[in-house]
Amino acid sequence: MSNDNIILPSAASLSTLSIADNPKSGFGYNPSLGPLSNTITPESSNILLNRKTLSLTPTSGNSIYDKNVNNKKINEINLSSLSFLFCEAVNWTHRNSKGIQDLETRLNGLGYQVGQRFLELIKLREGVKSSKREIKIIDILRFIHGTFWKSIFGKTANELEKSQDASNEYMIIDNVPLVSKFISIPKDYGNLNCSAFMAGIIEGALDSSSFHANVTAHSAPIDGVPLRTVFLIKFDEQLVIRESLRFN
Amino acid sequence: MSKKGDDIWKNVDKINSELFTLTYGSIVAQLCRDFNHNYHEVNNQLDQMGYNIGIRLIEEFLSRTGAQRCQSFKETVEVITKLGFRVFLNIQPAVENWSSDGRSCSIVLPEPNPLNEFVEIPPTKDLWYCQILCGILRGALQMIQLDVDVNFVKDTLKGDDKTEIRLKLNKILKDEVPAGED
Amino acid sequence: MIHSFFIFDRHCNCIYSREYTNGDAINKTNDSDTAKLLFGILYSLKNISGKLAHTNDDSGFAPSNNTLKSFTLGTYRAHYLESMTGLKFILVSDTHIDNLQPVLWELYSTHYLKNVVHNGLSPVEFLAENDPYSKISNHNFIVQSDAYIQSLPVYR
Repeated sequence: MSNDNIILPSAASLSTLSIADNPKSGFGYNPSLGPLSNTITPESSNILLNRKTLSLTPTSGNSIYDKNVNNKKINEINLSSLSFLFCEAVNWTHRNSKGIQDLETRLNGLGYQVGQRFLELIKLREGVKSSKREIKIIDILRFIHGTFWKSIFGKTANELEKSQDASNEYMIIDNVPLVSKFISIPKDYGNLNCSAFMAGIIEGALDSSSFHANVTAHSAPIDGVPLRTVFLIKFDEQLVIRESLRFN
Repeated sequence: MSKKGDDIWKNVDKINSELFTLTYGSIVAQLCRDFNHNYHEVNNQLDQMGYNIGIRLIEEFLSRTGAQRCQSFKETVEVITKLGFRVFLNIQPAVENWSSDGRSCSIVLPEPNPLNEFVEIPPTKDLWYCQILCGILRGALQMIQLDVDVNFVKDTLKGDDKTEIRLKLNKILKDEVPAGED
Repeated sequence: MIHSFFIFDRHCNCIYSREYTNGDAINKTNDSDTAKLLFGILYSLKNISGKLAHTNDDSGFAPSNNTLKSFTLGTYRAHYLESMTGLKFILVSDTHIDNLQPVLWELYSTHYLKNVVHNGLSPVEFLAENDPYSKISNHNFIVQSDAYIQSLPVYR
């Protein structure tokens, strides 16, 4: 933090203050001077008036904050546009990454920011009337699997499952995840799973709603469903404790 | 031509444009970090990514529209705005400010568009947030033998009154000749 | 009967070649000389057709109404489609097949588009010969275009 941001006393030590001491900023209470130190003089009023300011007055009404995000009609765009953009992002990320694992982590990071923002958007649009904050793991998962998935990808995810082995592990399964619709992985990309981007979206949304988790994507084809992907959600152990404190 | 754009639009696979908007934003933000906020390099990288997209996107455009070669640069720009932008971004920009020789013009994007919605950028003169569009246009046009300079001249994100891309036709490229023939 | 299928890119390199012999077996060991010779003929014919038509105007915007579509030699016919981006699709058949333009268009606008163009992790700009990326090696493209060509009534 820079010095400008901290509230500084007028002097390093109050006991060393003398009448002659003037604070650097032009203002500040000097105990040896008493209330006089707050007198507005031509100099101090000049300093006040010449402070740099940031305008907070609403201006044209055209700024993004003036727009209503609550539009009922959501615009659509060609899926190809997203696929071209996403593939280029994968190529760029691939060039900068230290391997497939690292690449997946970076794709997760790209998705994370999308998830955080989408959550906010969807919650805003749900409105105060119908929406309540999810405080149970199962509720937030149902929300991600249902409403959230549908808003982003146009359909709900396929299955929602709980691990039998670990109490903090859950799975959301999508038979045709959006990004694998247009990407097929060439040999030199190894076992890269681009759905790491979608895992990032889930992780961003979960973290933002205070359900801290790690989300990873694993391809799990079965007969007739070659693109089936499992999103493995591993919640913080603490969440399980929180849940047992609250609801047991 | 707008009618044709509508017909093609009906048949494309569509997604929520906000997913596209936020994904693009996430990519630009990542590039800013990767290049340590050197916005000139971010612009260059966005332009290069756009170029790589453009050389692919043109094939989809030609396949979907069955478009034939245009008779003039004016016609080309009309096809770009009425069909190209319509089919890929579902917007229809305006064309303005033709030079007298018919080789340069401006494309003005509607507000907001799928790239700059929800976006606010720090007060910097250097970043052209939607630069990827320039690369896309440059790449796509080069594939159909048109060497065109494409750059932003105005951006509402920087407080300008509109978002304007300037196009300038340099030359028409010749088909490549096989090795050994000249 | 369809004998073979070639694609050349805008740098005049052969980026895909496939030979179909009698029956279903596909001979993958075709030699590149055939491709070069074929390209040479097509290139010359295209030039001549442009010169005969005299349609180049000053603007430099090339005309599209005088394009080579096929040529016939003894027992073979080569069907030709060039995209505006300079990709050249060629099917070689016997002389009983008159017009394969819709098939060539389908190969370009569906199979090439879906499997090569849309797959952003595989290249669309191919490198010079002898490099591993000098040819289309995309598995889906190979499988699907083979299946499409072999499903045509005129294939055998």
